Amino acid sequence: MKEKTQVEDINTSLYDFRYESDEADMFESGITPQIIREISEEKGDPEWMTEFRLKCLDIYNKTQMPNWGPSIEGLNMNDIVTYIRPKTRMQTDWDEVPDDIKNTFERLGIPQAERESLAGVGAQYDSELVYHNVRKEVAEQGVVYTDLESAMHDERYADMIREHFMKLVPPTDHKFAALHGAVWSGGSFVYVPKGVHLDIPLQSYFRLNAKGAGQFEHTLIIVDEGAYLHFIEGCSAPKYYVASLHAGCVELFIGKNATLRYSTIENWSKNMYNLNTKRAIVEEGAKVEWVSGSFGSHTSYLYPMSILKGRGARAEFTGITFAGEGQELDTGAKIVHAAPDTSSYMNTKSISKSGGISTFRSAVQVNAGATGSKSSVSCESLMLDSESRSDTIPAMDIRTADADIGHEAKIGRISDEAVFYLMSRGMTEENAKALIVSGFADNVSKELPLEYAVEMNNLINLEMKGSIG
Amino acid sequence: MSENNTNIKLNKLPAPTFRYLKMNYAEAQQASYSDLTPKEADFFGCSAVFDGVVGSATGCGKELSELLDSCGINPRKLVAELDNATARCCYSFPKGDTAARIEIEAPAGKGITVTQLIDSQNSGRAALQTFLNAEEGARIHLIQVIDCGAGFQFINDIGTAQQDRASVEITQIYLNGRETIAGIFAGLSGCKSEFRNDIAYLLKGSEKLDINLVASHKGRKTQTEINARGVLSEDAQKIFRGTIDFLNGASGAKGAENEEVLMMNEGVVNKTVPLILCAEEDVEGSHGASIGKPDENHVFYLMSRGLSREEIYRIMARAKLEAAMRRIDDSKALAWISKRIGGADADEQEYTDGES
Amino acid sequence: MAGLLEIKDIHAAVEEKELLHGVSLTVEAGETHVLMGPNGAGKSTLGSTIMGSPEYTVTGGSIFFDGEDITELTADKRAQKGLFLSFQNPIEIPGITLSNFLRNALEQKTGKRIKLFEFKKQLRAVMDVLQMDPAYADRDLNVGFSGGEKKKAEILQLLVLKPRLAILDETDSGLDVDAVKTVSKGVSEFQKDPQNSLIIITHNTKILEALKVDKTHILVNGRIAAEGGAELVNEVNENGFEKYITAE
Repeated sequence: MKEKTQVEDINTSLYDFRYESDEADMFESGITPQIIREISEEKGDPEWMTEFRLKCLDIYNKTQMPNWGPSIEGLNMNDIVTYIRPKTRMQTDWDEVPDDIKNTFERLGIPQAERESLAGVGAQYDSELVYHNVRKEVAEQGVVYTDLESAMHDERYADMIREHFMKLVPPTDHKFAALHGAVWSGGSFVYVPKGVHLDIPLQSYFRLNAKGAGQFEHTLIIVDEGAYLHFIEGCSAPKYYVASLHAGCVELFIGKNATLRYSTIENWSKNMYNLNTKRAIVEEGAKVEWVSGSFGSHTSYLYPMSILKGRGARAEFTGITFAGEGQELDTGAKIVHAAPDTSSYMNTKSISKSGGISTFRSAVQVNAGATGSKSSVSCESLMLDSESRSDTIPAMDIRTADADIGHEAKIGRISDEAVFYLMSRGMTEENAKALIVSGFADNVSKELPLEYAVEMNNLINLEMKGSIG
Repeated sequence: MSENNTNIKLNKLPAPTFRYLKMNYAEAQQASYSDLTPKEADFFGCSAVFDGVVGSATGCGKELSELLDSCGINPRKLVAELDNATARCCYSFPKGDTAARIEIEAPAGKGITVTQLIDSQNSGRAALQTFLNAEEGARIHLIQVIDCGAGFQFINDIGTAQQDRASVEITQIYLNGRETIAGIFAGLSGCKSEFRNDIAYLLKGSEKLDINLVASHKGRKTQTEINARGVLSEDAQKIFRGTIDFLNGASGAKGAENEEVLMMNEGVVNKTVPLILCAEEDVEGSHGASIGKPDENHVFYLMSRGLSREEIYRIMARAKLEAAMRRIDDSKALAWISKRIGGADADEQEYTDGES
Repeated sequence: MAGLLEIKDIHAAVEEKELLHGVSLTVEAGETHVLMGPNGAGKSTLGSTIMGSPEYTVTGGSIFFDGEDITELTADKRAQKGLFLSFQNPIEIPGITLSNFLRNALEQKTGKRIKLFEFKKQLRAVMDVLQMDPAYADRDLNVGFSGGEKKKAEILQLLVLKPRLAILDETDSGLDVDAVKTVSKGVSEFQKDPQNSLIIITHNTKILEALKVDKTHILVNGRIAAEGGAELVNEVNENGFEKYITAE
């Protein structure tokens, strides 16, 4: 009985919170029901989806902008309207791709075909083949790995999708969740059956490139009882879109005693407003492991949320955020302990450089009745110069006495002694600092598959270049 | 905001966060406060005057200062004349709505310890605003003991302005009161100025404590140490907003914040938002919090020596207060506290002193 | 005649894993027992189980102290009846001073208020015996104490609380020669009362040289593998535990 009440409590809170209307200004989006119907028709949505999209648009128009995070005044909604219109979605011209992105492709050694795909110029390339092979391989174990749109039309999965789609992140969650619900396009659907332990990580990277999708993509993953999945999203190469908004949504359903590791290395181009929503619901004895690296975008709001719904559910969050020139990255995580004996562990690092602003923002809630819960949060920030800014804004709301909550935050700089030590061994100042920063980021790189860890280190080195003024 | 809104927003978090957490500010009903004169006693090396000034930045925020201005509450002023001045001010708030304001000034090189003993009738509302002005190399230690009535709302607002090498210490002990809204703003403008704050509280019944503390590091090599410790039992609720703000230019600044909360039973609510805001590379900032019930390893160890669980909880709760009491060297203030918490050692205090 | 402490076929487990598989032993008033065994044999588990640590679940058997079944009692009740455990790794407890805590514990045990001044005098006397810096009395319990000081603080509590049966879990481990001597002195002090009993858990026989030993138990894999008198200590000293392990 008691358990039941708790579940109801979470559901209410899920659907209610943040749907507030005070302060902050609204803005005209220019997105009309007509545009939404066109999108829906083009995609051949089932009727319930068309209705859902229209309901989301209504919520979007009524919901206030967030009034607590970084400014999103520079976000040009007219662009967004232009680019979400069906058929007017334009291919980018290679000549218009900004030089810094071209240079990064160069430095990361990305092949031309792939560069064009990442920049939204080329339609498809070799990776599609890889994607098909992976699909075939995992299908033999009963795993479904496909794009969400075709899954929605497959009678085997249609009900499952309808049952789960935007149930964890309802459109009332915040303005951009509502926008996502209205205009979502593309994305992944993964189902791992009971007891299946998938040894190879699934990587959305191949799929997204093959499809050229990715701006309002929806990821829906269901890991059934006792199963294991590692899902890798994104890549270290910068992704470029003409329109400057990314409002994706990730919903993860993790069944009893199952584990899902969700890794992301994100490097959106520096004109992007990244207002992404990620959320996992974790059943009894199950576990979610988030590994998250945020390097790109102009402005980010990103706080993957874990709802520990079943007894003994666990969440781990390991993150790194690197805010360079012109960037304001507001990242962190949210945890809700909604059942007894749940535990959460958060370890984050953030780096600010050349005027970049990084903010670590978190919320740990331990509900009444979630007895025996444990939470440990540790965040560390590194300031590389005094033009930059680094803020730490953790919040804790603890409503059971039988809890063990620990929190640690630190802010500091690269130690001069360490730089001197490395320089005395023959390293340049630049290399010494880059090495120290890579070491600082090792909480995340240790958790990534080797090739991703190497890429991330390259990315850090790249960001560190020319840091010595 | 509409005209007929009778609430004021206090204790605003310097950088707001997710709205659904409802931690961004506190609200209090507007009251028409009338001026209350404290009983002042045991003045040593200082004098009282009537033309105090309250600085613009305090922990509760502008809306409170404006309200007190509009109610015509005039600040008194205490000025230190020696380097070891002391004063004790007793605020016994009556029923109804009363308020008091005081500026404490330590001119260059002077030092003063001021004890504010605060109690009240069972019901009513009161606001106290204290502004600490520490000039070059001056020292101010403010001790506050709050023992308000079970139906009383108390707003306790403090601001500091600190010049070069000025040091301010604030020790606060919250014993009783239905609802307490406490703000502290430490203005560390002077180079090498220092701020230390020890807060201890014992909340029970349906008591609420809302704290907003901001240490604003503007000067070079400024230092802050914050220790907040307390115990929540029955249906008590507490929110602690603790911000260390390193402004650009505060090179060499250091700030450390530590919070310990003992939650004694189901039903209590503890909210904590410890911010570190930083716009300067050459700083060191840290925050640590430990929240929950007493560590079971500790409990077993103490139980194995024959202490019951209840006794252990009592000792642990008491230890939270004692940590702050160690910062107080005013024996009358200590006796005042001991009397109120029913301390076994109250009668032995002087005996112990005599022994050492 | 029943012993002071009687352990009857005790089984204890951590989570699902059983660590003690039926251990029985009896300690009479005034006796000193030695509990030896290889690492991981369950010696500390047995000590903690006797004291009632919530870390271990008793899954079978019972423990009697002074004729009373204490298997279900919490640690504080056991301590008040006269049991004492010197921890292998004494816990650091910030915020509570050694002296404050000990006075409280003594008051609980005797049910009487103890005047601060008298208590301090008494504490000082015991600290002198143990050559402990009196400043430790006002420091937080075990916080920042060296390994040796922590062990001395355990013996200090033993002598102040005056239990009837004390279990010393590796109290001598990790100590230098002088510290072992001081600890031994404290233990001899405790043995001066002929009614006091001891269980000494150790794998070092040095501490035993100065003490009279009545019985020795060898614990291997959660079971008593051998029992004997003081001579068993020397035997183990020469041959180790090998033969008990192979016998298993």
